[in-house]
Amino acid sequence: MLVMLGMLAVFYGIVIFILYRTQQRTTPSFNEYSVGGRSYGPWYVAMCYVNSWWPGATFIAFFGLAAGSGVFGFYGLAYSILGVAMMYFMATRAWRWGARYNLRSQPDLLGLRFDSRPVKVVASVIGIVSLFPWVVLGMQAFGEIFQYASGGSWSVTACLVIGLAVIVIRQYWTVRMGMRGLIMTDAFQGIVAYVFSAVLCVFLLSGLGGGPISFATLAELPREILQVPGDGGQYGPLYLFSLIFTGVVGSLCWPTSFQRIYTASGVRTVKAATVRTVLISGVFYTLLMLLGIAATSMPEVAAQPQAGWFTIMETYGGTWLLGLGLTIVFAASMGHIDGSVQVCGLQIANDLVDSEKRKLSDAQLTSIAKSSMIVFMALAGVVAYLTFNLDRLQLLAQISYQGIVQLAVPLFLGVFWRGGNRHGALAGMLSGFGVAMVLTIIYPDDIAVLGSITGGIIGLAVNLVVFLVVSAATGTSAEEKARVDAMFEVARNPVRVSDPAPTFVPQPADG
Amino acid sequence: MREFIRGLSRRTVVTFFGVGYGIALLLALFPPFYLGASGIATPILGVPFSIAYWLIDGLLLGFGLWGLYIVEDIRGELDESLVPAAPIAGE
Repeated sequence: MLVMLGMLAVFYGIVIFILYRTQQRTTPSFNEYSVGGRSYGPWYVAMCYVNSWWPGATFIAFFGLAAGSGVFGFYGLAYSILGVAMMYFMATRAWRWGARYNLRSQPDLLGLRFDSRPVKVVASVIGIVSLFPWVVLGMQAFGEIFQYASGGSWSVTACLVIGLAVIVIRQYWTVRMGMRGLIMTDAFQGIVAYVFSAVLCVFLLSGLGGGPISFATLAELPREILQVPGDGGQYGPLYLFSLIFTGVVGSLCWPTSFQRIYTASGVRTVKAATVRTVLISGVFYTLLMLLGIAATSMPEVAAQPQAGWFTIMETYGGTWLLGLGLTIVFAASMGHIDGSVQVCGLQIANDLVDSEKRKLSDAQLTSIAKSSMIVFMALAGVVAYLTFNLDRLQLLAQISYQGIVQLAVPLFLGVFWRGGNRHGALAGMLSGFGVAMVLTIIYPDDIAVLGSITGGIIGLAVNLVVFLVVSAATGTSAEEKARVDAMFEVARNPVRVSDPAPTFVPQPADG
Repeated sequence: MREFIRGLSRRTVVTFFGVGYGIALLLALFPPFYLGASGIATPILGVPFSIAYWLIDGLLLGFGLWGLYIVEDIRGELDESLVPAAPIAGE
């Protein structure tokens, strides 16, 4: 127990040390606080993206999917990298608008594109509400980590309280430093969570150390492990399509994802960071899934697939390997919660409180963002405590995924097409979100009579039709058309090509 | 080769890599494809085809995106930044 707790403590200590050493002594502007002054390079942006994309649940839920259902787990690889690639295609346009119009959040862009505060507010609320259950689940994961680390000797309540205390103390720095506080630690957290785990998977799959699972195990898998849902079983043919499609279009709808574009110093940085994100995610997740699929041959993993990651570590490496496995999940959970808390605080201040009628100063915006983060986190902590053993919260997280994708219609059409207007965007989002919520509550998993399509896809279709019909019915004024044309013209031209680096001219030494 | 890439129209570049992305999307989203690859144990470099299918999809997308980045770099389409061309954190 002491070894595992000690490993977690060392990791945590290094994170706090990095934060302490990199904190700014001067008061940051709101741009600095919210998007890091748009000054970060590709590795930092990529690590930040990877941290906000893969929660600690990857090692529990997704690993459990591979360890329980086999090749089905690979759907996460498909939607993640196809979705992240969308950032590449949007990068130039979104970054130019961000730099030209000083955008800080994804709802900022939607509000600007449709010249509508309600569109901005609704988009922001959908984002914040959808992220909330994930933060709660992330906090609860911390409780589970301490249950393992204490060897089951601490009570559930004690583990959850300690887990909450650990993440809340960490958030002091997120609140204090904003985006900078994330970016400086995401690199370290990302290396521990995704690089260490990838190396560990290679080690375990290589068969070194005498473990029974290896790459060779993959050649002897039973057929049912190689089948995806829809190829027999309870699901229809459209189930996998629904999951992957929702993931691809949802990837840029999560507030945490889109904000990465605005932290980057330039178009090259966004694109280079996207390529790196695909590389890190692809390698890490592929190896994790291969390990999970190979582990289907272990009876103790098959009995409880969701705990498979921890079972493998404990079985083949004892306390030290389990400690490393816990630290990896700890790092992944921390990175995800940090990003979510930061972006929700930013959106509350920037999109919901600040307005043209009540323009706030930089200091006021920063202060409101900080208070919002504290309230958001405290609320999540209370809900995490009250719902620790409730399965329904997992359902809420699933519903949130079907809801967040409703931002895709105004976002993608708004960025790539000059048509549509604010009425269409607003009506589309609200109707799509409503339909997705109702259908997902009635059919939490799939709609069997429709080939196992999910409620979110139906919501998305309704959203698109309402967007087009309402936009066509309400029309676009010449003035609005000219405004949108001007925006697209901005997106066609470079914002500012970088100045050449100042030439260093040697000066003669004095005397 | 660099001159050839610079001489291509933007439309040609977008079409070429767009087709690659489209194929990766189809492999992941078109039910007849992913269901056709399901449950096949025939090994591809020691990995059952059903697993290799998803790896190939990922490799197609990953290398495609990397290739597009290299091509855009050669064509000088990436050099746009708010900060001077000084060393940037993380590069």
